[in-house]
Amino acid sequence: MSEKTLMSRRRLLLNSGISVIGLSLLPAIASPALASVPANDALSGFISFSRLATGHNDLDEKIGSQLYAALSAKDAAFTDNLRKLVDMVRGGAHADVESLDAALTGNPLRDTLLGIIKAWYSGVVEEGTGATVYAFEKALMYQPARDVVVIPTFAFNGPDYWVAEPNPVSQMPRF
Amino acid sequence: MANEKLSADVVIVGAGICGSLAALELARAGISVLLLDAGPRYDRAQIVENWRGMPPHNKAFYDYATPYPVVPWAPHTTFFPENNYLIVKGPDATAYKQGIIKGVGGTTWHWAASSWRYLPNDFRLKSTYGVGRDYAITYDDLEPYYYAAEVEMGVNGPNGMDIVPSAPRKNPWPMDSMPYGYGDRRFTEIVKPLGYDNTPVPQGRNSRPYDTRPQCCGNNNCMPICPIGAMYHGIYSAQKAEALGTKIIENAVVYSIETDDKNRIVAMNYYDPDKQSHRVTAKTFVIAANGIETPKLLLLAANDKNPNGIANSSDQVGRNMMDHPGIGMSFQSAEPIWAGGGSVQMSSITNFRDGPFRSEHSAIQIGYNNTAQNSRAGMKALSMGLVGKKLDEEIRRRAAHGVDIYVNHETLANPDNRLVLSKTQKDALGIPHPEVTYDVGEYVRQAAVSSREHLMTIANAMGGTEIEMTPYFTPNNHITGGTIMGNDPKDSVVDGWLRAHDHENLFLATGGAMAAAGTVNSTLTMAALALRAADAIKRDMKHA
Repeated sequence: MSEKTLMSRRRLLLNSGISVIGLSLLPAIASPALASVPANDALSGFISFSRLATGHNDLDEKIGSQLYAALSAKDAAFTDNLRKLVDMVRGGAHADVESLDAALTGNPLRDTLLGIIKAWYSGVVEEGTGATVYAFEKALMYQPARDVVVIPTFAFNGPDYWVAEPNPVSQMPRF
Repeated sequence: MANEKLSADVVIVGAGICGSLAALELARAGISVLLLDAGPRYDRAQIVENWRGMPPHNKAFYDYATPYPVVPWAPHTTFFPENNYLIVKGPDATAYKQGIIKGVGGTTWHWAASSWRYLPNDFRLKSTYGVGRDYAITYDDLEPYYYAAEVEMGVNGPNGMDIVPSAPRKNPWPMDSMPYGYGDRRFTEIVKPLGYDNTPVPQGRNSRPYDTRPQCCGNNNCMPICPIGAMYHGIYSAQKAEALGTKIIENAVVYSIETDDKNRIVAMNYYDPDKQSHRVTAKTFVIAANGIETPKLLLLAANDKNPNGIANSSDQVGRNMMDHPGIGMSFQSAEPIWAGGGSVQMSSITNFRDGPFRSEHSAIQIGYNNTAQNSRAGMKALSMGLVGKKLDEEIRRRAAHGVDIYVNHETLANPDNRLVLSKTQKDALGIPHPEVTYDVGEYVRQAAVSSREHLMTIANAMGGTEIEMTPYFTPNNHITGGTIMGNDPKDSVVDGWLRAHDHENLFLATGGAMAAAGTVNSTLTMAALALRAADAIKRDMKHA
């Protein structure tokens, strides 16, 4: 891969953010999915469902917008499947993702649910080394240990912070 | 550029740590230097963002190359996916898939900054233990240069601790060690009753503000990029040299070397990215293009008077390729260890660096890898199909309990472990790729039996589960031997000053000169050797 392609693949877009820098990476040539901005209601439906799917309310909507576009582009059935999942949780039918997950045993829609969760946690929707990265420091998988383990390249509060005794493993930080 | 006169007292090929330190030392003495590098200049902030924008798969499996974009005129090795720039063959091909970076600053852009001195016996392996080869110099010859390198790089170390074995020192380390994080602390406590002394690794990293660079803030991303410059990289010495008048030309790929009737080097020629050729002249030439690219260039530059390659009348160029073949182990410990506090390499077990056993098998270094486990923990937990609280708990549990340890082995110089120019693969400029055949040898294989036992002993003591150990040997990028040092021009390439036996005004300032690999990271030794070579050049210039 040429330098030019590689660099442009890694072109940085800065999200607005106060405490942390948000970043995302877009392919050199915007795909149709990324070019088309999802309708507001579809996106808000995705974000709303994502809150239940991940168990976390504080989700970045700009990242959500990109994940929604990428998931839709990856799987033609995604929006239909998402609609079915949204229907399943309508009216508080499932209080949390554990309840929904249990109800989806043996149902192909479970793959869609896990795909949404994986996107928010890992920041990518594809496997392997070619994946486009939509989130790094806001990827949810960096949050459960963030009180003890730095998100690499970032720091807590200056030199020698690491001499402190770690919190108990049982003490999950809020995020 | 075409009209510019490309000439200096000294031309240095390769702006990595060795070339940059030599350039700085010469520039300080008022000597004009032209410093060439095949690769580009890097912008730290861009490399940091490239890493952040790298897929989590790459992060979880320690991809150090992808953040450094490969340029077609100076390809370096990448493994995600593997680009096959470095062709490896032989029974232990896996153990020579080296990570190198081309560009100003070189591979120290993504090192862990472990900055060890070798032991006196590492310099006299043959005379002490009857195996391998001796250096052409003693530890004492190199001691002042070790210290000069430590001061220039900014090395912190365990001042005041009595560690056996240790290299004798005339001066303390310029900085004291950084304090351990919880992981290194607990690991040290757990292995102590087993007879293992886990002690601080000397690190080229600021444990206090030093040389205008900040103190380490524990960003835990030393490999592949320190985001704040608390870790030393060759780029700092290159920039200092530049401020003193050294001219740096990046993207300059040297491909031919001209010699005169006395076999002195007259000129070198390099390609720019458009394959336009440029000629550079100097009184003295230094090749400091790392342990792979240096022998590659010497072979590539064969001419009428030197048909087997420059500096190669001994036929030893590209032979004796060494490294520290590793065995890696990962597991989940019974108690939380919380890897990731501080730098990625804080401590290691050095009980087995020396001893009479070296007449039979390798000395070893056992190490605890303090790289944060959160990328790996996240990806593993996601692969388990968990959701909700169980998913979060599994990620946190794995981030806390994940442990990586390793053993690195000393290798012996073996002429059959050889780098040649590929007959089939060429880069965009038409320059052949390097091809290495590698067999770690019985000396290592015998040691590896007990090394695996050491690793299992430690894993069991930590109540390890999900234990995985590499069944093959891994590379460690400690590239040594390919332009080996010796007193006899018939079986070595350079002398104790890194001067090529065949060419009075050519120095090969790389780890390739190292005649024995020892057990620990080779960088400080090659840096010290480069400074010693610079001293010889200064002396030449004074007497010219």
